[in-house]
Amino acid sequence: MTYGENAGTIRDELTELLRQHRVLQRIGGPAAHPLPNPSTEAERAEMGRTIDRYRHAALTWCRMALDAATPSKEPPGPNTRHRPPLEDLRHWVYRTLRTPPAETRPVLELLDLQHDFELLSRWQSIGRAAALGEHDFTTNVNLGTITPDQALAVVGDAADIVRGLVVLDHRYKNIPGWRRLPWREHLNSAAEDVAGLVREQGTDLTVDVLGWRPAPAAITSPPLPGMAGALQAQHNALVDLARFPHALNLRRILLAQAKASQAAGRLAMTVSPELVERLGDRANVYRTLVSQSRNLGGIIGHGGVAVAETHNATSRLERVSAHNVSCDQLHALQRLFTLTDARLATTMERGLAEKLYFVSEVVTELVPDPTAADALPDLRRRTAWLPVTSPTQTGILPLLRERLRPPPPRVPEVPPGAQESRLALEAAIAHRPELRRLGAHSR
Amino acid sequence: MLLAHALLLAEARSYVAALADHALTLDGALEYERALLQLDALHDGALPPTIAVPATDMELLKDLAVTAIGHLAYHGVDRLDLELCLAMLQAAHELDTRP
Repeated sequence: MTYGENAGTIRDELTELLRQHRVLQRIGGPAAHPLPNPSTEAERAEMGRTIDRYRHAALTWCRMALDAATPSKEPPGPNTRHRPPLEDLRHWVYRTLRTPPAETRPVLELLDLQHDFELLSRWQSIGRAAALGEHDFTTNVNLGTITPDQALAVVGDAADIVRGLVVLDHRYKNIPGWRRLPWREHLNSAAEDVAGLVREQGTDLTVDVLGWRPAPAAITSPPLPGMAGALQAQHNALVDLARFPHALNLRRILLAQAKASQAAGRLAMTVSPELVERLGDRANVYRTLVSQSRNLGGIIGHGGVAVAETHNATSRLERVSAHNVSCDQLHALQRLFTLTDARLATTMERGLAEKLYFVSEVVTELVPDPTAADALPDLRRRTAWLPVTSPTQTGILPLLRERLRPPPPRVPEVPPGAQESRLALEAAIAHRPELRRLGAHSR
Repeated sequence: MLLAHALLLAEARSYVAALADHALTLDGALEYERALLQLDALHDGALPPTIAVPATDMELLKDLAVTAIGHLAYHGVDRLDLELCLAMLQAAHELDTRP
């Protein structure tokens, strides 16, 4: 899930809720016509508490979004009259969250409930997206990663969601036992100020592609038949390369990658001729790497699984018939190769820089003769393990940096629908008469 | 590893490396590299550096490599492992010279 997907779910569900009126009827309350699924007052009060808990999760998400996009990591200071708008909004969100929700169960316990009413299901989606979205802020949606314009987009999202929650708070006031948001006028006013500020300055919606993603895991199912098995093995090798391989295993991996490229190149001649040159080039690069790393040593690390999986990939590629390979499969393999190259380049650079790999070299040195002080020193040759960062260089480093360099990061694109989702929420908030009354009241 | 063992291993490695460098095909070169890796694995990665070998005659290099690898048995290296290594070398030679 990306930030855009989580925030988008909250926005879309909120937009839909803002379009719904006659709230009591939507949770089985009294209506002019008999409802198919009526509820008692006690049940409606229980539903109100559940909605309150989901709302609390959404507000917590807003608080985390504001924290992630704010340079100051301290909680907002005491009440003053001259707070900047963003600090003001943070202040009122923090104060609102100090009041615990009526429902004391953790929100996680409410996320898998089966609700009878669509309105509650929508709130549940909001709670779910808010709980999931909390990961995004600790991963890469924070000021350590995002640009100022992307931070503005995050702040704008939080402000709009706060505004929507305030509108719904007013609309739900007839639910039995409904807990009104404390400081709602201040909250709304601060959120409106921030939203206006964000609209004036413009935002970068590419933040939507960032967010938490689970780490790739190995495919542990039995070997798949044909080319799928080769893809499976290459994927598993890539996953295991996250563990540092020792020198001997690194050399085995390099050799197996060369053979895998060679085998894939043969398949490409029939299936996908445009890949032949790239695969052949890769095989040659790995062949050179193998020969350049003949004297490489180092006992720290693992890499056994990566070696086995790379050999699996090679043997499956050599066995599979070109008639059973599709063009898409070969391109998927090429993408895996590219990722493997980047991972191997990073691993080897790290091993060389941190002196985990050494080069065995014959060094010549002058040794003074201890028996005669005025005699010329002896010239001796001995074998030594030298770090690659010493004057003794191998051809490995240039190859790594020039041929296995990770591809440049793609310029992120705004996902489709990102702008529309925000405009829809804005329109839903702007068309609410409750908001205008609240605005007039707070001023 | 004693000095004589290290010198012999360096010699064997250098001949196999030279075979890989002068291989006629990419497949053959990779198979020679595989034999070299097997040789290094027999010594747990404790390897003396390779040295440049002036000879380019593949048959001569192969004979020298086979002799050097065979003599490693006198230094306590398992004979079966050495035979497997020699078999890899032979397979690489056949693959490289296949018409």
